[in-house]
Amino acid sequence: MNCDQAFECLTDPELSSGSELRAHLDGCPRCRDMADILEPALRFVTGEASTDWIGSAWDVAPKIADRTSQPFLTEQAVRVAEEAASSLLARNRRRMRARRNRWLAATLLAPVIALALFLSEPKSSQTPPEEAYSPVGPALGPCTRMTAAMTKPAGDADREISAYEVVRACNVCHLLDRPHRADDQEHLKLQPVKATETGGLWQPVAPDKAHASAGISLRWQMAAIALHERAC
Amino acid sequence: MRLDDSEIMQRIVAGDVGLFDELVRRYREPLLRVAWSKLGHREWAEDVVQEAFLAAYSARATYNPEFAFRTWLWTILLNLCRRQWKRRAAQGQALPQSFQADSESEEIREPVSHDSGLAQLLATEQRQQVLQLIARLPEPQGDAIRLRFFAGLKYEEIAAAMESAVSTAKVRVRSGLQSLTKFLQEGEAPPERGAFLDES
Repeated sequence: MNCDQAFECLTDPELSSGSELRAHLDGCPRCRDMADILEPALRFVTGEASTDWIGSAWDVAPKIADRTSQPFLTEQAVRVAEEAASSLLARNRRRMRARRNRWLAATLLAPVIALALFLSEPKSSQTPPEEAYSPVGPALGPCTRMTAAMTKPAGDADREISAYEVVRACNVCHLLDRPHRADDQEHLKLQPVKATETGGLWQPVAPDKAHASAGISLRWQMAAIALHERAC
Repeated sequence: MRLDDSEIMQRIVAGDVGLFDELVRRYREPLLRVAWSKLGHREWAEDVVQEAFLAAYSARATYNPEFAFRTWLWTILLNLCRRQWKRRAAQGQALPQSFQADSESEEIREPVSHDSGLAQLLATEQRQQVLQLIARLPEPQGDAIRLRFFAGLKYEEIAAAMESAVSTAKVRVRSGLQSLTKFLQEGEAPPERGAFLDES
């Protein structure tokens, strides 16, 4: 049951106490609020006072019917009935036409949409293999593979590249090598501390204390350190 | 075998006019309820309902099974009520006075059910309050509420009878109920039975 159907049930004296409506109200705070707001009015218009007249006041109807006034019919009333008939007919035909047009549109558009979907679908030969997205092995891009290999400790050349190494390799190109902006006060940059002596000990330093040779790519600094390690 | 409205109307159009009584039996009571609640006067309501039936009968040739007979009848009734209302308003007879006059009428207070006379009196009093509060609503909202609760129409039928969209019919009912709640919270509620007893 959706909120629209819940409102219909709520305003239907026969369905307003149904379990389905109750279940909807339990799970829908918006409708529950609406039910709370409308409750006094609903009780008022569907209560005993408003329904009793069916069995009470209108019992006197035969008495009213027996009164002296005679049934009457005016030309205008007949015209009202005729206009109502033509208006309802037109409305009904409008609805039928709209429904038919919707069906027609759906029938015509369905093949076009299907064709468009078929054409827009990438061909299997163009789809890259799923393992290409794997972070290990030959699926790695040559650049990343090379950088990761270069940053690996010596002696591990045959070991598969781990995820951590891939991330570190990515960082080398895409984060550390970012041009430094003067206003970027919070930015930290990894710099080698006495790279040649320590063999590549990295620590974050503030931008203002960045390496003097900022023009030199850190990637290649790292690569140089890694190669040095391997050589040792 | 119970014939549906459409079959009855087709047979009436074909010449079996006696079947029209069956339609009168089916719809007279809800039509009277709505007409009375709209006009506030039972005799006017009775006149309008009779006129609606006669008009439908006279225009039976224009009936088409493509639309529901009951929707047609309700449309006729609402339009005739509107016409009656204008005519009465032109004569200076306003709706609240009509309700008041009706509630004071000896005929309407006459105990006619199996309840005691006092219980009937109380029910009538409360009913008058219901009608008065609905009469305070804007006409489209009041009509939508009458058709929904006094006539038991579906929203599709209300929309067709009032020449509106279904969503509009729902919005009218909801807005009308919200306004009624507001009226009731402002202290316009019908008197409690105890309070009414004290007054009497």
